[in-house]
Amino acid sequence: MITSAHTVLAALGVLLGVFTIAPGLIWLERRLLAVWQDRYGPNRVGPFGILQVVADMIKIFTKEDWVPPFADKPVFIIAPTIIMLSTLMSFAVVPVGPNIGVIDMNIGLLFFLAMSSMGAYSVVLAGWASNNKYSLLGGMRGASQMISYEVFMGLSLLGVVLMNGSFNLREIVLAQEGMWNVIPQFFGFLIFLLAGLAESHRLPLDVPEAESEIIAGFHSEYSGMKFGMFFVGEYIGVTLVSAMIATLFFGGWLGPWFPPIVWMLIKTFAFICLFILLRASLPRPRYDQLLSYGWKVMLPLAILNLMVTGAIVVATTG
Amino acid sequence: MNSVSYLPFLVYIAGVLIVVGFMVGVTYFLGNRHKDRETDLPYESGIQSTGDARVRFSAKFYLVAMLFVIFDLEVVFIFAWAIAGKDLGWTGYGVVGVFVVILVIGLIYEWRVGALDWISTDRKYIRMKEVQK
Repeated sequence: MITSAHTVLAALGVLLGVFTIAPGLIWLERRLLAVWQDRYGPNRVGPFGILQVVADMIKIFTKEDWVPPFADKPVFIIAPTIIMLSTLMSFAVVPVGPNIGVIDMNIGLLFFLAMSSMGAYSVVLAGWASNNKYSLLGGMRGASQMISYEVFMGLSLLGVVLMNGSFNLREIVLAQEGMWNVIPQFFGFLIFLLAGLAESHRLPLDVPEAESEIIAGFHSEYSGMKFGMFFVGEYIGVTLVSAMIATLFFGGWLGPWFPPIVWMLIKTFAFICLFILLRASLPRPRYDQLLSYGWKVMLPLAILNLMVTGAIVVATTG
Repeated sequence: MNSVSYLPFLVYIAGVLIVVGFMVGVTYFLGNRHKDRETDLPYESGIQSTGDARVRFSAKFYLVAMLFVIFDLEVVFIFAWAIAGKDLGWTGYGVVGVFVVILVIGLIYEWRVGALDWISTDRKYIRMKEVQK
């Protein structure tokens, strides 16, 4: 009975942790961007401006929750919940520590892929339901981009699956005791990083939103907390992809001196900062360039990586 | 494989649903309401909106979706091999190799046909356009 209470508390702890980190990223991103752009960023509310998040939250909760009269109302309301649900559900399989995590699923990796592809529904439904031409364009772009990059997101992880012979994320972490997967699977890591960037449609790959071309794209009709859900959902997506990169390629919670959970947080944090640095430093590609890059460069590279890994794995196990 | 307790997972799902439901619902009560002349118009960069957005859009998006279905389905088949790749040895590798070669032939065909280009640069296509003029 004690153990089950412990695991339930751990599950709620993960949820609480995600909801602490994701809004915290709003502040972190603004501060880091400011550092890299040689300005101050939010520094008025609380120490180092950290209470800016609280102020923003209070403000956004009291904003008008406008549902357009010309929109498809049920779909309009459901769309932002899908992105929150799909990203939060993916966190259920992320192993935070040796015994910490929501569920130890044998098909953890497949569950993650299934849930992350659900996110595409959110974008396309929001764009469609808004009944606004720019939103429609954004939704269509988002759908094409996310499903294109979905293909080789799966392919890039196959190398890891081959080497470890398991979809269980805990077993994948434990198999990296001797060497992190990033060394034999460097191309897999690069492809997954790019696919993760496109899946969470972050800058520089934010063509579904692209405020300078299609005025925030799929969520230009959203206001109040429904807009906030897209916003927070994006940050949860960034946290999720960072945590998955740490788990799959950088040994998850493994590391000397510190307790396991600290290592997991350090690694996740490092990749979140990498995502913000990418945003600060890279321009947005043109839409057709993004798609043809995916199909013509990343897909062949992912297939090549898979076949070479397969040959080496089969040859060494003999 | 050890038996997995689903209780934490169910609690987690319940927690997620409560939080998300709260976020959707609470602004209905907390948010203010106003009604002005332009409130109920779609926001399209300040330009007067004409018609609604139920319009036809480029078939290229549809083409990408079809490519996705083809390739993602094939990735699913490769997943089944990857999990048992070590045990199946060279026999399994050979079979998957044949499968991947067929997949790559399909990719090359799509590439040559111009399905991967958003704007067709094919000479025949451009000449056809000129003839139509």
